[in-house]
Amino acid sequence: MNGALPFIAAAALLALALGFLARRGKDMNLEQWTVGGRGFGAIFVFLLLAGEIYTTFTFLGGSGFAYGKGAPAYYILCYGTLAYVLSYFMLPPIWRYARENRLYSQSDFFVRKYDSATLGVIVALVDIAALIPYLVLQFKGLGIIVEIAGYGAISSTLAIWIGAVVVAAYVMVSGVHGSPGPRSPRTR
Amino acid sequence: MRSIRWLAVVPFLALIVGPFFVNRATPLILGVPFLLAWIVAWILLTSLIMAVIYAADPANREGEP
Repeated sequence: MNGALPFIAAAALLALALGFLARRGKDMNLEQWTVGGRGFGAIFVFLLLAGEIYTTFTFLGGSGFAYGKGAPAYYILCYGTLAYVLSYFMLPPIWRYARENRLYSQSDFFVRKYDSATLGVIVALVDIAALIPYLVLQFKGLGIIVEIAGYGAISSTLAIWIGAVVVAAYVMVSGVHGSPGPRSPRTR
Repeated sequence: MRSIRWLAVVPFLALIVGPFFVNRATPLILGVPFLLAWIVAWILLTSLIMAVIYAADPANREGEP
């Protein structure tokens, strides 16, 4: 037992509890679960985006890249900034279109927009295939962070299993409300 | 007022073309290498530019989030 373990455990339990609490007061249906009833406020979206940016790559990959190679790591700052400039023009029209047609997912959007169920299936398959290496990377990083921060008391494999179960549990219960939940005040 | 949207090109020029001309470590600004200071400054300026575009954009007048 060492000093870091209670903090790691408390953080995991807090994330789990807040993830479950995020469901409170919501009449949970598919629209609430996937897109939060299409009623996210500015603060909620801001926290979602912040959570999206601060990944394992930010903590391990980015800092390691900067330490090893130096200035080329600055590209991270540039692409993040420019991606949001593009998003300002691209995403609101997609959001409006999706609301008018009551769409829930990216593949829904392509099915409706291009009137092709096949395209929707292909988009869904590409999404899943692209998510797998991303998830592996994130969980691998989570394992390394917990193993190092806990001075080896929790093995990387065990940390990954605990992390995967915690995330799967609160996402299944609260959907998109759970994903920014651990960091956000409720805005609605 | 839609033409004010073209201001959004400025961050691209500053962050993609700019580094070719300011790719140096000196002079240090607040102890930070010049290139990093340039990029951080433009991140802040980009927020300002987007705030101006948002305020001027008629698409945001519909009372929708």
